[in-house]
Amino acid sequence: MSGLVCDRITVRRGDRLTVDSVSFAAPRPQLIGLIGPNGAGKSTLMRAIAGLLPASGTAVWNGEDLAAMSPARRARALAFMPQERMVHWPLACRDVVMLARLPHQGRFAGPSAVDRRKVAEALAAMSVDGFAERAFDTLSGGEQARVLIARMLAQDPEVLIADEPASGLDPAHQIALMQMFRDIVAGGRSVLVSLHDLTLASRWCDRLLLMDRARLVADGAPEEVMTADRMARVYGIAVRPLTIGGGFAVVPEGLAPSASAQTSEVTPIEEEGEGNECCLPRIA
Amino acid sequence: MTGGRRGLRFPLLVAGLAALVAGLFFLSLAVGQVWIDPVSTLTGGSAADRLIMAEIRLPRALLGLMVGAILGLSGAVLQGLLRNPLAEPGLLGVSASASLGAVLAIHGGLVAVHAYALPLSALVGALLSVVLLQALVGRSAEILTLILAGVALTSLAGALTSLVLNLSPNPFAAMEIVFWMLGSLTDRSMVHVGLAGPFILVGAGLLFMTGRALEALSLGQEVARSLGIRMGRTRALAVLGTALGVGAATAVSGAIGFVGLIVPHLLRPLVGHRPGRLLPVSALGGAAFLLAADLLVRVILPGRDLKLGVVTAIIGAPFFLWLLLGLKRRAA
Amino acid sequence: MSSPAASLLAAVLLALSGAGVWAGESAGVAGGSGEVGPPPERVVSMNLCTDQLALLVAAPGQLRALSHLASDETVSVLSARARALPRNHGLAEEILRLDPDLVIAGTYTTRATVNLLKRLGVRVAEFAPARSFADIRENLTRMGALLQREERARALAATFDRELARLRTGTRDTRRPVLGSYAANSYTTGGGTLEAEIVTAAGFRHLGTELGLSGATRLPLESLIVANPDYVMSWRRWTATPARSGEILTHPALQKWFGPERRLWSDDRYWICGAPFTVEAVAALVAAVPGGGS
Repeated sequence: MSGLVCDRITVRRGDRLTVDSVSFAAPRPQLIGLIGPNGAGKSTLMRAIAGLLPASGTAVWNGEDLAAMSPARRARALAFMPQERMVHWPLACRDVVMLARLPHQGRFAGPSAVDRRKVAEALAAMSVDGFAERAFDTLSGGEQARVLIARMLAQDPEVLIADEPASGLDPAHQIALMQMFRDIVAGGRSVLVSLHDLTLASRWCDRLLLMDRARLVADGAPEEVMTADRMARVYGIAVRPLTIGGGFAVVPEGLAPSASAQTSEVTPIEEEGEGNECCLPRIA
Repeated sequence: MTGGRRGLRFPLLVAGLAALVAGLFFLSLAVGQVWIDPVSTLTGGSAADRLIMAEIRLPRALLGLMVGAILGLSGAVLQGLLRNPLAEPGLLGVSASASLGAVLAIHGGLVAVHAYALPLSALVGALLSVVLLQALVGRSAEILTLILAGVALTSLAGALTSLVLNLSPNPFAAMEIVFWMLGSLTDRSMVHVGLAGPFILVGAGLLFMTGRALEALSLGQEVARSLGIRMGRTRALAVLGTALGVGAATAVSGAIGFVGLIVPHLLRPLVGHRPGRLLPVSALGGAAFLLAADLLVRVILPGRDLKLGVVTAIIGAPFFLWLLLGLKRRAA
Repeated sequence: MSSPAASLLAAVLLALSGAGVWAGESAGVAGGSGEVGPPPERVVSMNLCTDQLALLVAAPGQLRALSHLASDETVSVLSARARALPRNHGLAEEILRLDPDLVIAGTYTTRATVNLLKRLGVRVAEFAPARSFADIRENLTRMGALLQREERARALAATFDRELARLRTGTRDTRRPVLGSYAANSYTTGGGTLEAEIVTAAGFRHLGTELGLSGATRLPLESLIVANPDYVMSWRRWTATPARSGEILTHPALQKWFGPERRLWSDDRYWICGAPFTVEAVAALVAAVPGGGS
């Protein structure tokens, strides 16, 4: 079976399930948004698919089990971008992006002409080519995010998995990012991206996966998933559906009246800002 | 230190450092109790000069080169692996543990059985210390825990070394404590080059194999793994390479501190902070640094056998404090 | 510095060095030597050199205990005889428990213990290490006086002088070869030392003296090769147990340059302490290179 197929992916941490038997199939290239409140298990699911966590169940890409691939082969098939935006040394941005080409290079070979071109394209795509030679730590949070996205693009994978790539970006760059994901999908690749911005998710994604408390509770087109009822139950908020340019989108309006008591514990989404403080999504 | 200028051109830097090492190596042959022109001994010169050149100064210079290179290289690898600019075999207790291993081999009589027992036993000491360090620190690799664990290991190994030497029936053994704790290249011979050389070379080979992984690790472990890096393999290469190289180096030169700390730190900006590129230049820089320190030892107090570790510590310890302050400022 | 190795080291280095002149000599004996009373009967010695001197001079039963080094065959000439006596480790407690009427110590070792014993009113005599044949005679005489065995001391001194004189007449006086000592950790010995006097008495010129060195000094291997003495003498026993410090004595450069015929190996025990048996050290050197450079 072609495309990305996940079958009963389950991650156990201690005696707690952080991802509970999640299955979905994406036979065609799609921009898939992964949504859900904090602690729902989104990041864990993405890591499990990327083969970074021990998990039961299978994630298959074009008939090949991702977990069984050699690390080098998997690195050419799939790119992962975590939520934490961290580069440990003050590397130049071009060097950061060039790291994505490691899986494509021989053991002791330097970057080839193809590598340089891919890096230049990725830098341009995220419009960070202007400061390619600057040190990563001198950039603003949003600029850093764009450089790291460029890193993922330059890896030139068939599947992109990005955890909160849009957080900390200004609206123009958020839209540019989603647009670029759409272009990537149009080019025949699949993108799985977790998003906290429901408007962005509903406006741009082909398909949404909604997670709540380790389980996949809804899977489908945005208008099917984001029903007022479900949003109130899962997020504890009221949403207003809109039609923008012939497409569907939702705007969060306020807390859902019936759910306000239970959601008082939920961390406000906006606080999950620049993201280097390690807001791992499993905080209770 | 992170402006628009992103370091020298890499080949130029490597060539410059190699030339520096070559110059210092030549000086190291020439400087001693008397100045001897190394070139003239190839063609003529007195018999004494030729012997001194071939059997005393050449091994000393070779050891300075190899020991310095492996110390600089292992410092760069450990810093890249732990993503921590304070990691260094001396500070982490690896050198002190290697000393303990070497002392046990000598005074336990193993060396009498086979000469290679010396580097091997030092290697085992170094290996145990790294394993112990990992057990103590776990996966956290937090700066403070790591440094404190290193301090504890260093004192423990130092104390045990003193114990072994104090229990020795040889009246001169107690004097060795200084050598094992501060290191020296004085009056070593080709025998020592032969003992340590192969291990240092293999260790360096293993350490160089971590280059790609260290580059990828700049983005953190998860991304590195998603880029196809096998973390277990990388860690094993770094640990084994350090144990082999630093273990053998310590077995013949004693524990020389701070080389692996200073050298990578000074050179890092010159390679655009790239951890992989830092490896060859740190090896060259370490060799240059140790050769220079060993020359200094001979020039400042000729005939007094000033310990090498004294010089490296006098330069290194203030440097270490300055680094700590820098880290504190960044954390604040 | 309380471990056996450390105190042994101190003894070794002192014997090799000529550093310092012992001004404390006259003040050494509490109670003064002019005192005439019964001979001391419970004498305890705390220093390898005084141990051996006392063993040679004392009457049977006069000694109560010796330092533990006295029975160590690697450093003590008289280890067999010393083993018959209890040994101490230079600790005040064990000395006091022996209830001595005279304690003999070295001027350098176990200082804290000696001071404590003095404060507690124990009679302590301190001996400086002998740095010359004259010192040996003087120490002998003084030991004889302390133990009231003057006759015995005189006889020992006379034998010592006779033997020395006999060896000297036998030695070369034409070409006197140069002999340099080389010990663990690249140490050699300078002039004005017992070693220099032994070497000279055996008919050699002493390298350390010729180089103007003093005391125990590090001599880099390079310098030894450049100085190029006719003979390099080392001590066998101190390097018998494995230690890094002894490696220098098997350094390829040393072995290639000097060759086995120019290396002499002495018995350390006769060199550590200046005593009547020091004459054996001279005799061994004379025997090792008969006829000198001829």
